[in-house]
Amino acid sequence: MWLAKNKDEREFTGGKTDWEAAARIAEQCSGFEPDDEDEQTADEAVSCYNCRYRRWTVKSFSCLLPT
Amino acid sequence: MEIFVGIDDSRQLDGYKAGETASLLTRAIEDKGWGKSKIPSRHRLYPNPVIGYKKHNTARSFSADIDEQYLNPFITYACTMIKSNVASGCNAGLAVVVPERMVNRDDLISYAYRVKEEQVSKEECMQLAQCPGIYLFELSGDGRGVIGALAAAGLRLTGNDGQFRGKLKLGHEEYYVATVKEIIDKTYVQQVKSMDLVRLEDDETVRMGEKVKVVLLDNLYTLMVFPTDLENPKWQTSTTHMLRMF
Repeated sequence: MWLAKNKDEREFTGGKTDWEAAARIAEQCSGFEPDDEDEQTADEAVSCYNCRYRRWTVKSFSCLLPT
Repeated sequence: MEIFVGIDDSRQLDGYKAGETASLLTRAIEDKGWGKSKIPSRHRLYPNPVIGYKKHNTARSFSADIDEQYLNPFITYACTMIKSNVASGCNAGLAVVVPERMVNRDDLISYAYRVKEEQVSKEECMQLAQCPGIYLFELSGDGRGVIGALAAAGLRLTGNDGQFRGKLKLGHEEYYVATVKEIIDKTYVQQVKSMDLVRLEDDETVRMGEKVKVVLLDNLYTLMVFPTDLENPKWQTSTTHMLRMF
């Protein structure tokens, strides 16, 4: 589900509306932290789309969680 | 006179948040007796790939009715507040739009919708700011925040874009069912509309979901709903997914 863009950045390949996959990944991620409520876009409370480490890109988002 | 204020901020992980600043500015307008403010809204913009790690592709705005003599004091106050709150690495910008001084609002509205859909240069933004009634301020970093700030003010001016901060609460029980009249009487919502943009009647019933957001539509605080396929309640509040267009 990820495309490595460089050593510090990986982009989600599911785009901006793969709610199920984004929730599944976030559930299994130990680094998930909710973003400001106003910036959350998914109905699922735990979702990459609602995480403070996601950065929106043109097609999707990148995960900037330190690895 | 009516003013529209747009704020765009930050590429940092934490710290300064335009949403909070917008709320503080609306409160200041009222506390200082400069005028009356409306609730700040959040506007989704195109994620500019040049900016890179921008935390959000959103900007904030609000409108207010202020006495003309307080326009300059307000601008000075807003610039000072934003400058004092930003952290290093931010490219904060402020836009103040005064529609009654504008010759052509359509150019601003067209610009605002473009910033929502595509990448727009700072040069284009600065060119638009030459028009009367538009005041732009680069407040930190390279000042690129003016692009989103002006777009947010323009989107608010359309009366048909943006979500309001926080979640709407009504009733104490989960999935509380309310009539449209109760929603309008007991909250700041001014109208309830279906996703097909049909306005609901006062006696129609709505099941309140877990995360209820209010949007700006027809220049009114609007609660969006979708059918439950039941007789009662006939409607349910729209989900976050459904409100992405705002």
